[in-house]
Amino acid sequence: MFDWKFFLLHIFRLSPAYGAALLMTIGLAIVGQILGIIIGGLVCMGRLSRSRIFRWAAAIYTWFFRGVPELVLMVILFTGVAAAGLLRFDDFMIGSFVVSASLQAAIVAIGLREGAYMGEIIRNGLQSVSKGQVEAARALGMSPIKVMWRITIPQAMRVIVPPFGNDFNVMLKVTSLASVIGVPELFLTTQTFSAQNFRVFELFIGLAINYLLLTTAWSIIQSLIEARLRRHESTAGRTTFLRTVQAHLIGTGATDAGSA
Amino acid sequence: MTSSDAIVVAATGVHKWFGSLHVLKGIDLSVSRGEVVCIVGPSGSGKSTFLRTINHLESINSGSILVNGDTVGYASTGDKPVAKRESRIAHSRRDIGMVFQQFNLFWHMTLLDNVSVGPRTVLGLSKNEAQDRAAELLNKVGLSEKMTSYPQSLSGGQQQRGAIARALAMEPKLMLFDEPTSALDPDMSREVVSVVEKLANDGMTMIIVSHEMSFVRRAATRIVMMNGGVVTEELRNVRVADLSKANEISAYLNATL
Repeated sequence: MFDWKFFLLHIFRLSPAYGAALLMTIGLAIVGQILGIIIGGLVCMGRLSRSRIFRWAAAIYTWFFRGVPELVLMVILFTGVAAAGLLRFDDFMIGSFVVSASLQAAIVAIGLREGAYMGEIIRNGLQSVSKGQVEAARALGMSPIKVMWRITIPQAMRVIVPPFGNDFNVMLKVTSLASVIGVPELFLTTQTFSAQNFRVFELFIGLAINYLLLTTAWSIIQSLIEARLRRHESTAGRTTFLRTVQAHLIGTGATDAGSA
Repeated sequence: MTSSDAIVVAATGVHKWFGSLHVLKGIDLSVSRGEVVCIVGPSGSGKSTFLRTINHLESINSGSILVNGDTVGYASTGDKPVAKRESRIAHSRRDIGMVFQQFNLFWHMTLLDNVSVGPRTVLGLSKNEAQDRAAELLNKVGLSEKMTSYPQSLSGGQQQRGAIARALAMEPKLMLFDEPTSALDPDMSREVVSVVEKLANDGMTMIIVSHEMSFVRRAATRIVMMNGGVVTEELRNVRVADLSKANEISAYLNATL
């Protein structure tokens, strides 16, 4: 029988442990994503490099980290690598916060995998910028750096943000895998709690709702970013926040872009 | 009458290969200040390629091209041109404006930003100075009410006029036009031709690659015919010259009517 009293109490009363777990999940996703973007940038440079060695290295990196499951990666990094005596993560402190070995392994595993995907996303975005735009910028006398900063990157963002947004959405959920190596994020905390009071169904429905809230919040943010990036397409005047979000999340039913 | 510093473009013996395809087979061209040179010829004659070697959007394999006495893309004028670094080439391109067949306005910026981004980021003008200059130029080409519009909402003719304003914002000494009206219908072409005509009357040195007869009739001071990678005929003093004396040119132009 579904214990409604327990369920609603759990949903609306945020226990400290649960609050910490929520922050851990969000923090893990953000830090992992940032690491992924940095590694992705390097991988992209490798893919587009003139040097054969770099191109091969980037290709192999991408193939490997897109081919191995995240879960396996985490376990290998945390236990496997230490067992082989190659590398052992040690706890260290930032202020009063302990960055445990398991957390480090989780961040590295997430970052390495995300780097492979971001590398492709960034490369695709950069290559989508039409040659004519770049030529016009060069003809004006812009140096290569200025061309990249003023023209290439802003235009590439338009193509990079949607798949990046989807990736971050996945990222928020991939954090749950860190539970197997003992990182106290939402899933592990919920699991531990349910072992204490046996309210498995209620607690995990609550957990699902929690993830839904996180991913929905991100979807809204993503749609706002996309709306801003696509403002050159709109012929209408300013629209309300709600209408913008609705247009990007649900669509407007129009097939052309000039109605957002 | 023509002192060396009145020669804006001096191209000698320009050869270019695309792989094994010999597209430019020894082009010599000298353009003086204030001249409006129209380069005509069939597709594949190399005229667009040659135009693009002038501001080094295309490299050359041998020969030399001097713009205002400066080698835009090369560190030496010796036998084999050695390309400069892109950032140095960029510096030389400030004095050369280019207008493209596909307009190439930056679609992520408003028209005002398109015209002011060059002066602001390359010439170092302040935002206000750059915008003032942009506003003035957009007024000159008749696009004042479209300043805050994005390129997507402009017609082809408006985009091309905007592109001309963008090139002019750099205060170039030479303007290059690569088939500027080929993507436009007759009405829009007319808008662009009148802007170019105004520029010609203001004394801008221009090289126009085009099929457009109006450029020839209303702006050109010289017509150069290219075919198969070489210059086959030239007609100077077009305004007063007798077109029928230039056999190839008149045959080509009459055929394109």
